[in-house]
Amino acid sequence: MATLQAQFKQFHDNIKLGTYEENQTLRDKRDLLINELATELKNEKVPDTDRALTFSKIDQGSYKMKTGIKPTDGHYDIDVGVIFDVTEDEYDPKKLKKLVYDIINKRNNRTVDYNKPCITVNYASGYHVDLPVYCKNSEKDVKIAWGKMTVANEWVDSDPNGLNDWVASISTESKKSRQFRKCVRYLKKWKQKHFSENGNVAPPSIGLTLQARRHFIFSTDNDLLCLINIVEKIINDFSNDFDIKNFRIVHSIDFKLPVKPYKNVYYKMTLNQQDVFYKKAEALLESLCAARDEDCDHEASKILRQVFGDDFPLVDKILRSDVKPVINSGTSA
Amino acid sequence: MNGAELSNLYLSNTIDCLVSYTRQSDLKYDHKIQGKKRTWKIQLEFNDNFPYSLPFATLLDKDQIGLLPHVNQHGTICYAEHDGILINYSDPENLLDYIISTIRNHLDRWSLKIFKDDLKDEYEGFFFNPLNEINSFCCPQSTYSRIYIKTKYNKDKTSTPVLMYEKNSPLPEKFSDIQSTSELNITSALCVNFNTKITPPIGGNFTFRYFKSLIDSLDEKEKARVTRLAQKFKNKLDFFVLLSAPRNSLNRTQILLKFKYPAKNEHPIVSDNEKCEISLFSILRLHKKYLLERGGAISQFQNSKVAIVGCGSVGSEIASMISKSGVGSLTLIDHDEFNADNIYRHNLGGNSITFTPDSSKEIKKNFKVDALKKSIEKDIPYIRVNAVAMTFQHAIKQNLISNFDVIIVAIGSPTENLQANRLLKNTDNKIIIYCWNEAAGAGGHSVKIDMAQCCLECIYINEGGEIVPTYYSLLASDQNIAKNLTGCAGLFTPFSYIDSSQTALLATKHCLEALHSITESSISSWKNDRFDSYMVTDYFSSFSHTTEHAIIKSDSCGICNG
Repeated sequence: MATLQAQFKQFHDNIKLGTYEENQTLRDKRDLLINELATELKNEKVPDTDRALTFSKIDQGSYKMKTGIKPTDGHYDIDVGVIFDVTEDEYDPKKLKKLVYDIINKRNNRTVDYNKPCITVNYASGYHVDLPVYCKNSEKDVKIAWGKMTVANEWVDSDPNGLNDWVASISTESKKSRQFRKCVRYLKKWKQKHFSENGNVAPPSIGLTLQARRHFIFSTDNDLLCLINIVEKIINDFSNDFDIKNFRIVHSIDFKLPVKPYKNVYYKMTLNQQDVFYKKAEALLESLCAARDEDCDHEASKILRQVFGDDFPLVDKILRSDVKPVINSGTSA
Repeated sequence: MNGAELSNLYLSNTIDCLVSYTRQSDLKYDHKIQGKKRTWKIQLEFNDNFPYSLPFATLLDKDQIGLLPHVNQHGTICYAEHDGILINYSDPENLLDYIISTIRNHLDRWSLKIFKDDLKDEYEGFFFNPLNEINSFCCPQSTYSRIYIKTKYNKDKTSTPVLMYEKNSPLPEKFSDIQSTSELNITSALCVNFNTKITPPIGGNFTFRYFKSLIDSLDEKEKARVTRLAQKFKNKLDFFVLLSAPRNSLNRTQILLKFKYPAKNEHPIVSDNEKCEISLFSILRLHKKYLLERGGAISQFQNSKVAIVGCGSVGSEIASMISKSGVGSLTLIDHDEFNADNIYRHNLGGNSITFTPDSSKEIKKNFKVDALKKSIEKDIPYIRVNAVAMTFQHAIKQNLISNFDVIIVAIGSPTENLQANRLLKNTDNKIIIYCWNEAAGAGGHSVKIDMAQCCLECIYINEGGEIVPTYYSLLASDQNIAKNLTGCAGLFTPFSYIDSSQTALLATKHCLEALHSITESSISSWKNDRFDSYMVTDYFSSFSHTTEHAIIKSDSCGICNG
């Protein structure tokens, strides 16, 4: 039975991306944009009032949740929400989102997209910042401006703070919350290696994070067993569905957000994409179990390298002689 | 190892996972190996060079072929690299144990679902057949509606494919013997483009039914497109189809199919007639994007422009090296003709010398630049070579040496180098490299000059502003070194092809550095450590093998301070 805990630790160190607190560059990028927004909005008023239009920022996504992994293409993705101190009656969602869009869209070192859930700022140097725009009816009642630029937008129930809190409340014991975050990073690395980045082929990371949060059971000094449990439960969250178009049984998933608006986190994926997700999760579970059941750490590490890529360390083979019978020398002439 | 020795090796060895084995012939053994979830049947075929080479392994469980990656359609198991490996041949027992247990571990591992993607990624390798290959100038990363195939017409009225290309991208006519393919027939192949990876057939046979199942798996739009195009084909005996599917890398899986019918038939995409012979052709990629990467060239240099002034022993060698580095445009400037005197120290040889008189009964010699251009363009498909058969003085006067990323001056004469330095200072060229051999095989130099920093004269000028031998000379000045074999007309400086190659290597490295934007001015020198034929300088004695020094602007240099 292999655990490869030391290799998992090394693997985690290899793929881990720091939080805002640990990463000055990311913090600078975030603060630059938020400060720019604050400066530009200095003289802006809430419509039909003399009240200054103010906002607060909320860190979101993997940097906040401490579950980020290094991007393969150097393309960092920063999520920072902008919660305006206005109620939904005081500002039209599209007008407010467009105001943010227009302010951010003034500089020429970046391109800005008006997307359904957020404003996305793309920098030439290869990272982008997602800025969801919120209003606040009360501390407990926050809504997100939802819709594309070409259609009417609406204020939709949202709870970014609640989501952050739910994920953070995994455990009061640091060793447990640390293992949870490690397992989320392992899942993200698996996703990075086995899914295309095109469209919605890959399950969104927030979905994997929330499923891992729901199903996490601490396993002392054994990340592999902890991960196996999570993946088993992820697979159990799928149910059989009928694909009328192709006349076949497929596996679909409906995993609800634990906070408002309680919608399916995988809502963007087609039935076929959900079925591919299921099959890949099954293959993942089979491999993790095969690694667990492997007597030889070298063989187990080879399986895990196929799962996670070369960031997972290869364990040396123990031979009956000190000299390897065959060595790849890499020489040629 | 012969059959008896191998038999003894089997008898004396105890391998844990080996359930049983059967000797099929002296050097061929079948084995049952206990895996984690099943027993594997494999065959090892040794040759008498074992243990200096590894045996070929074949999976005998036919039902597993097409399910496991790294096992091809014939069951050949790719369990180890066969090139560049170091085998501990002193312990054959351990080696045999290693081979069998490695194959067992591989097969166990590869049967996990997570390895299925590797199988799809290696679709071409699954069907690879070195006896059925076709040269392709099509882009390995693109999808096509149809491509064109040059074919050889056979007596049975069918055709054999020779090379394929895309309509809007002309073939590099001067490369190799491409021109001789102009007499071949041209036919078109319908391209079938999958938007997901495809899986090979279980059992390994590419049957008509398997082909139809692939067509059925296409998305509706592509299926409609290929059906519409297939219906336009006239009934005939043979058809070509190019399958193209995505891989993990940017390059796509590409495989050419030939369908041969006994009588005229409609296109196989729209036909249900299974009575056809299907041949698969592996693609030998010759497209620029593939060849540059495969051959270790640097694709970003395709937009670079390099000029070589002087195409003698050193210059011709640099031209050859630069062309193989991936540079897209090369201009050669030299007014000399190539003759037999040069063949032992020039990159060109007998191919560039003519002994046959032309119609005016003259034996015309080739200019070095023309012969080099011809040689390089025949060797390298993706390079533009511009031959300028004139002196560098004339070329500069006619503004032919301008706007180059790098100019390499390989004239050899220090005075001409300095003249070139003066003339080039007033042009828009930024980086100039000067290189030359020292006499009698003493060594050689390459000087990389960023014209914004300094110039060649900076290392030849004394405090009084006079031209003197450079400190970086290897041989003491004013020695009688030139030789002649046929009188004054045959005067030459003795050095060999090896000397020129070493100097050319330094200059080429300087050039590639400059193309990578490492532009600091410097001199690189090599020397023959055993040289004792002539008096040497302090600089010669100051280093072993090779050395490099930064060059800075001289306060006395009239050019830089003018």
